[in-house]
Amino acid sequence: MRANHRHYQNVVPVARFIIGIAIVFFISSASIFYVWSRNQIDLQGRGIKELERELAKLQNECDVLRGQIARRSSTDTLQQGFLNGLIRLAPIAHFEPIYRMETADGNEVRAVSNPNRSRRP
Amino acid sequence: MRTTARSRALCACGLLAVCFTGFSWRLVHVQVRQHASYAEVATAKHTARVPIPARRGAICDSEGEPLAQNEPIRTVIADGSLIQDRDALAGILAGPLQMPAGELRTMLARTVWSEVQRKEVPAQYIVLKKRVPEIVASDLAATLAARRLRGIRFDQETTRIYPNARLACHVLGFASAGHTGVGGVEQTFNRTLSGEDGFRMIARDGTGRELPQYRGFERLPRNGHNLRLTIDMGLQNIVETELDAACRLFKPKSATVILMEPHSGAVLALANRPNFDLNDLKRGKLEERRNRAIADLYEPGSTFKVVTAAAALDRRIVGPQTMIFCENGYFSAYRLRDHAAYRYLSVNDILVHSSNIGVAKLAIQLGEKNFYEYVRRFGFGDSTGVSLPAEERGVVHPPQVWDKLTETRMAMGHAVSVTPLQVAAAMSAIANGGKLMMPQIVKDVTDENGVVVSTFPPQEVRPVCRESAARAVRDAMVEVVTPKGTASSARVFGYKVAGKTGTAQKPDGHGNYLRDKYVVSFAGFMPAVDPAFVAVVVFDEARAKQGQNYGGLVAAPIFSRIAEKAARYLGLPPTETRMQGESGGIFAREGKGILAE
Repeated sequence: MRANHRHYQNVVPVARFIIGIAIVFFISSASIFYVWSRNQIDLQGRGIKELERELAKLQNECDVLRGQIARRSSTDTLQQGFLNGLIRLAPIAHFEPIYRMETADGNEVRAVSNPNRSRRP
Repeated sequence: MRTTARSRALCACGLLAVCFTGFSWRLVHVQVRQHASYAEVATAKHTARVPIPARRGAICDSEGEPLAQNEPIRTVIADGSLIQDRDALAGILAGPLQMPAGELRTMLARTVWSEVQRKEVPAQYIVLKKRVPEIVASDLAATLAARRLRGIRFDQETTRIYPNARLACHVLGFASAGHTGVGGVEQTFNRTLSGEDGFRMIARDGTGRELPQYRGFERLPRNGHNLRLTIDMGLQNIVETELDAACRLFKPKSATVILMEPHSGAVLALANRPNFDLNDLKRGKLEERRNRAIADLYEPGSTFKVVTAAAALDRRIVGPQTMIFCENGYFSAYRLRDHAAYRYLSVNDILVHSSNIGVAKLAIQLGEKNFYEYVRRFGFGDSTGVSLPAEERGVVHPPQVWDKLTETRMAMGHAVSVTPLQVAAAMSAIANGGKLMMPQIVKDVTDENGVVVSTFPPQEVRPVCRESAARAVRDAMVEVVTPKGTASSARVFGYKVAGKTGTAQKPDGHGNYLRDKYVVSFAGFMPAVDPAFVAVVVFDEARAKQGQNYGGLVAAPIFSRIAEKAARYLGLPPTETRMQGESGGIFAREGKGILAE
């Protein structure tokens, strides 16, 4: 009985050891996974913030550019440019109205030549 | 001895048990009984409800040109407790912020009394400059980051910009710093433009910074809708340019021009003088913000004769060629005078020569009740319903309070107060064949993706007269704009114009009229048949030469210039081969595929 006891006492408790290691491994890996997951969440949060900042920046830039386009192409700016001689506008109609004093007989309607036409390129 | 040790141990155990029982009780008390209140405190400390502001909608003209939109701006704020090199910082900030370095140094050195430290400490919130453009702020931030200077931050805000500054300022109105519309469509459509703010529940760490990974419930904002106006900036520019030129010449106290599409009631252009710069409100006076087209009342004078004549013709009391005895220039029973001694004039000629006695007789024949009914039917004494704030209804007294002279005076546009927009609407009714249309200023509302949310179709208020009556009045108005009428200077080469002048002495507020102060006006449309636009020009106290302060000499030429340019802008084909009212001469014009005639 005693010999047997000794015999068993000298044997390495492999099973227990393995179970212990497994438990420790499980606990540490769970902890590491937990920390890793939290870190991932934090990183994702930072990523979200960064993307939001970038989006806001792009929106701002877009709004600024839209404002500049609106200002520079506004009727008021074009009118000012025209008045200051910076912009030259083509006349709306190439032909000036012609008022002829001599009348045709009765209700006759006839073609009127336009002197500007020949100068046209 | 053993007993003592045992009792000591028991004592210690008992004490410990009591302590732990106490702690346990406290723990249960805090965790269970006070759970709700502590949870609330913790939630309040670590979570917050952050509003997500909605973007205010943009406003554009009928062709899509932006008239009002948003632009990001920054407020530059300094935290004195973080600043290490004040001089360097002031030097860097001075240029971009356009502020003297000395002033900045003084601002950065500002201190506040700290109750905790019992001494003066650097202020942590110093507003250096507001409304700094985004580009300037981002450049500045980059410079500060490169120089590793701390203590400056840029808070973002949004401002409203109006690319056309003064053009159509009374139509647009403006948005205050709190993004609330003041005046114009900004005020009328404030709710539509504002949208609805959203919110987000956020978690914060101990320093107050957001932890985006632990966001809670959020409701996205509903951005404001965009407005598309009926205003055409091309026409608005024509009107404003001509109005400026006329104001330089006549220096009136105020002036108004309205351009309206008569079939739909769409307001194509609306301009007042004085006006103001929508981007520089600090300099503007309150007086300049008044939309005189709808808020100023005036006695319309002879332009109102159109209403009297239309009423008489619609009732078939007279025909266009019915002859009316005009008392040789003086109607003693009603103390009325004409500017020339007319004997008999047809109804047409009453309008052409603007005979006071003639229209007075038409009104008398109509009867007080009928005449009043027609005046109201044409929309006078009622708001037009245009989507602009602070519209006046005008003053039209009921027949019960009229004296013997009121009817004859009202027939020629006195004893009645109207707004220029009411005159434009009434003139549109004549132009479109007798339908009073509600003036429209907004074409449609779209969401942020450009999808139309609602439209504003033309709205007929009521029929005011038969088409034949409107046509007869129109024909008379065409003759007004001939050399024999009072508004020959309103003629436009190539087009038949219909119109009526108005010259009214201003009331002094005591029942009399001021001798030398006039409101001159012209209301007309072009082309006379199937008109593209109605225009009303009103000048209050124009400084014309002695004896020239008449609607036909001041307002009519302005109409002519505006109408000619507007016709070109709209590409209206010429309707006339001869100059209006002249028998000789052939007017020829070539353009837009129309051959010379």
